[in-house]
Amino acid sequence: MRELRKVLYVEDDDDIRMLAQLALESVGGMHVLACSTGMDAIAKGPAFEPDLILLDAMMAGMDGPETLTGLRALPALAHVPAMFMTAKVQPAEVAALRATGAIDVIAKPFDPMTLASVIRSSWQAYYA
Amino acid sequence: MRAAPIPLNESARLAALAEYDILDTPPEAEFDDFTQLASYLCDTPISYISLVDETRQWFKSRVGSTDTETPRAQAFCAHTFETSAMLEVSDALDDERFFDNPSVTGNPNIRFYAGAPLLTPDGLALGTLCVIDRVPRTLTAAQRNALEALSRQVMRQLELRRVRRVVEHQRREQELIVASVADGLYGIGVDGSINMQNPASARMLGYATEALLGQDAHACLHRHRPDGSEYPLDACPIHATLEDGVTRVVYDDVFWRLDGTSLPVEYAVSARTNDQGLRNGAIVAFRDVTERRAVERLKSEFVSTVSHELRTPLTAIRAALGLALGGAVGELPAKVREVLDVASRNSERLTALINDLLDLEKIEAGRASFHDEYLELTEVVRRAVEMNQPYADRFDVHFRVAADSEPLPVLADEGRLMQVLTNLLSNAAKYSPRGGTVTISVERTGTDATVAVRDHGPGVPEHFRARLFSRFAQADSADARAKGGTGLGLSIAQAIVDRMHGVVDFENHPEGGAVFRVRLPIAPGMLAAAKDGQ
Repeated sequence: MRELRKVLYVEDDDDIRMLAQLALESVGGMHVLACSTGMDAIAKGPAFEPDLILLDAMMAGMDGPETLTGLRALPALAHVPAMFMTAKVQPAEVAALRATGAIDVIAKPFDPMTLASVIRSSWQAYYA
Repeated sequence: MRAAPIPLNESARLAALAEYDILDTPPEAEFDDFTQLASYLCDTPISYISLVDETRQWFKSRVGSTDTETPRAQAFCAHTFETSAMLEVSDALDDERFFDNPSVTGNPNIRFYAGAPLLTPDGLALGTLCVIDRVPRTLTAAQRNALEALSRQVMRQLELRRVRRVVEHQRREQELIVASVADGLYGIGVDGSINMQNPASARMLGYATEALLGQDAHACLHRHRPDGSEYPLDACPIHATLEDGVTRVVYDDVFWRLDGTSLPVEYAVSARTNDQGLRNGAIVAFRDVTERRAVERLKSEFVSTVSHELRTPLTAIRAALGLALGGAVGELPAKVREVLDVASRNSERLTALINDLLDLEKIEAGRASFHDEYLELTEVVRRAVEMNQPYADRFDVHFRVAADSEPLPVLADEGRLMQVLTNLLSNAAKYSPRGGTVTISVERTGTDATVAVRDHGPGVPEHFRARLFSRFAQADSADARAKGGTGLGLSIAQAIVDRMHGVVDFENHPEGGAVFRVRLPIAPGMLAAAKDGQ
């Protein structure tokens, strides 16, 4: 069975990025490449060979869906499953994010102690 | 000469006379007919309709004389006021009251007088219908009867004239009101064509005042829905009122202006009837709600933006506290854990508040989607009870359901209905004494289905009843039980039930505790089915 080990994570809020990375690594035992911008992720993502792309939806400059489009254009990342994290949790907003092909949408605020397991089970469900 | 005494009711009499507004008005054929008839029937050369004010008697109509008035002191007519009965003087020269009266010694040389008083419905004498001759004589009984009958007809004519004036005044007032109101008003006939429009309506719709008259209202103003799609006539509420006469109020619609732009409106449509009570069209009263819509939109955006902006720092706080308390960053000393627990609980509460605020705003703005389906209320209640029992266990509270066997189908969104029931059940559990029971009954009440949740807690404090459903209302903020909630739960429950065309209310049970009730209409068309199940 496949294991979720490497997460490419893009979040422009420094505090949340640090905390989510901590949650995924310390609690979830994952390896996280945390980027502060979409451009950064596009530059570093392919070499990292992630099992999952995790994107903040609302970011200044290149937002989550735009970043995903950029990442998908890279052959190495064209088929890596992606998830969004968002503070905008209205059904219409969630539906719009899912329409980009994301396999799940995680609501903010998230519970740091269960974040890794929530992400992992969605990821496993996708491959099941 | 002896002038008639001033009657005791003189001031009321003068007030009544003024109300008829008849003095010094031009001659009118309706009144002249009566003096003609009186002089003909009584065979006298002179006849007057005489009205007596403070200083004079004035003749509304006269035959055989050119006088328009005489001083009150010499008025024969004033003498009828004493008895309110007919006065007949066969020969004025033989009567000590009149023998030296200037009207007897000079023009018009009265010798014979007979006058029947003009009595208002309240019995006040305004004057007389009288006949006069220059030779002494008497009336036959038939003539007397005729004169009295004619005097009553004169009075009816006066009454008619007064009512007509009042009606005319009311009509002018109404016209003024219709022309002055800021709301648009237009009237349509049974065929849907416009036959009346006030200036506000013309202005708002961009038409010249008369331009819409005779035009088809639906075709001109209402041919498209707010989204621009065709608005079929048989789906139009205004048309429906034309058909069934039922008044309708529509809060969210548009009318189309002459220039093709849309006007956001709320309107009420009421059936009109003709003077025989038969429906002959409808009146539409509408209001421009452009500004209100803009304010609502701004408010929604504001709430949504603020919630999002609040959520971002909250995400960091919760994540930091969660990691620390979860042991992800190392072992915590007991005291540190204690204070971080406080911070964590409060960040949870802040999250709940933001979620509730956003939810409430969404429901009230009508932006929450309700997926209505036929639900069996008792089943939903049982599920809600089961779902909330673990929460009640924390307070050692037991839920007990007492339901009729009768099926109670309601048309509602299940998730939203669960939200309402969860709110009532968790409140009841929270406010129950330890080991207490909360009774949930489901029953039919007329055409409604009612869920009643009764606890055995302290009940709702008297001073708090009026505010119970307001936002952030909590009776006693020092009450530890209140602290678990956001103060928005009941507001949200009420907003949801409102949307389901139901009512939520409460009362304190006479034997203690509070009873909260949700009343929902039994699903239309399912009433019979509900009965069959009895």
